[in-house]
Amino acid sequence: MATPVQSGVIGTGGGDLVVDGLVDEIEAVRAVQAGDLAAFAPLYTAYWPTVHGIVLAQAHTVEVADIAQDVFVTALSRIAELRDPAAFGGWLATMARHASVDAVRRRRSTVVVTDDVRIDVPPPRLEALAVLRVIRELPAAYRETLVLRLVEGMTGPEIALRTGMTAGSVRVNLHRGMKMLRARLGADDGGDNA
Amino acid sequence: MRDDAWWDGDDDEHIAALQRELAPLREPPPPWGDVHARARFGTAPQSRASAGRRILAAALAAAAAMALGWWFGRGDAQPATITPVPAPASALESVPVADPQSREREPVASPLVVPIPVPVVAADEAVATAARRELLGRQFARLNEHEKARAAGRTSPEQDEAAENVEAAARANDLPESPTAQEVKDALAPLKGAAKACGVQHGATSGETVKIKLSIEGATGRVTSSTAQSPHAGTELGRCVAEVLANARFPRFRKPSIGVVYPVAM
Repeated sequence: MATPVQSGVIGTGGGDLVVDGLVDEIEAVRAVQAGDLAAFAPLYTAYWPTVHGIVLAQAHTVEVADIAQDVFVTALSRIAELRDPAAFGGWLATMARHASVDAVRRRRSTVVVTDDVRIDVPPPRLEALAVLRVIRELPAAYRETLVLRLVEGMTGPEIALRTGMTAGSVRVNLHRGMKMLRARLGADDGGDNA
Repeated sequence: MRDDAWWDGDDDEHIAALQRELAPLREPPPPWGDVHARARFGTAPQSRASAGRRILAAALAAAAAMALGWWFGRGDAQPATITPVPAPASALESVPVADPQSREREPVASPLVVPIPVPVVAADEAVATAARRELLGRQFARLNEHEKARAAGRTSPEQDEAAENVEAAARANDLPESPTAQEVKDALAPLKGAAKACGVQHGATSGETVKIKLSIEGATGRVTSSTAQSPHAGTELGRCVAEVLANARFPRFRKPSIGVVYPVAM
């Protein structure tokens, strides 16, 4: 049975935060389940950063967009299985995590042929990849939250809302993850901030 | 109180600096139409849950086949479902084994993606290896018996043909685990010209690269799935190049299937 509309309010520990748009999203999920595939479009736009970030935290960067797109295709084809429309975010995030794990496993048996293509990576992206590498070395619980915060630009409450994690978990992950990241980046720079 | 401060430990500058530095990794969503079209035409990737069910089913089938083989004790019920051996040893006594190379290609489900047949998954690698060795031993023993019978003029042409097929199948077990990168390049090289012609046909810019993901079946060396990757997924150009590369033929190998990502510069 669907969760009532009160799920539009989430606790943050610092007082309840009313989340605009969640009620609309629940309605959109219900519409898609009723057969209106076009109603999925706003959900796709709203959840793209979440799915992209979750996949980016694990999978190879060149495959991230494809894997993220696959997640939405799978979600759209299986949305009838979702019993609680309010749980859409958590359901989608779980699907994205599984897809990332599958992609990492699959990549081990993939031959990438690169004979006739030279890909020039622009310097800003190289720097970003270097930081991403450090984030990926952090414990699994922190790296996903940090990627959503630092790459996708999502706020803490937004991460909790979109991934189905509790507000407390996100807060702890962000706090401890940032602390570890700062220490490691500081160590990489010569230990100034470590 | 600002929300972010509560979440991030009030480290505005550091967060903002990292966000600026990591911004190049952000990607806009591909057009919604691509997802919509793929969902409508049923090309959703296979889920972990269904993969789990397939593995369980394959394991149960393998266990059942092995139990039957043990029960009847004659070795005729081969555990073929747990190994990539293409032909059972009993083929010598019954019908000739079809050469995997001469099999017709499976029909294409959609213009973009050919569905990958469910790979036969070994329930246990050690069991599979032991079963493969045992089967090989039996195959070669029967081949030796057949050679003696043929020398004595006691075989029919059909039995000779079946024996050759079984020998070919037995030789398949000497195949490499998977093709080398060079073998993959060699197999795709003859198709490059036709693939580049797609660029002319569909107005690609010079130097534009179309990445195609191929799934190759080990038993046949044929392409079972050819899909254009983002940003060419769902485009006419991507579809054209994918269709060309779907015709590639690779050396056979032991793994059920492998994936290859092949970039074609227009």
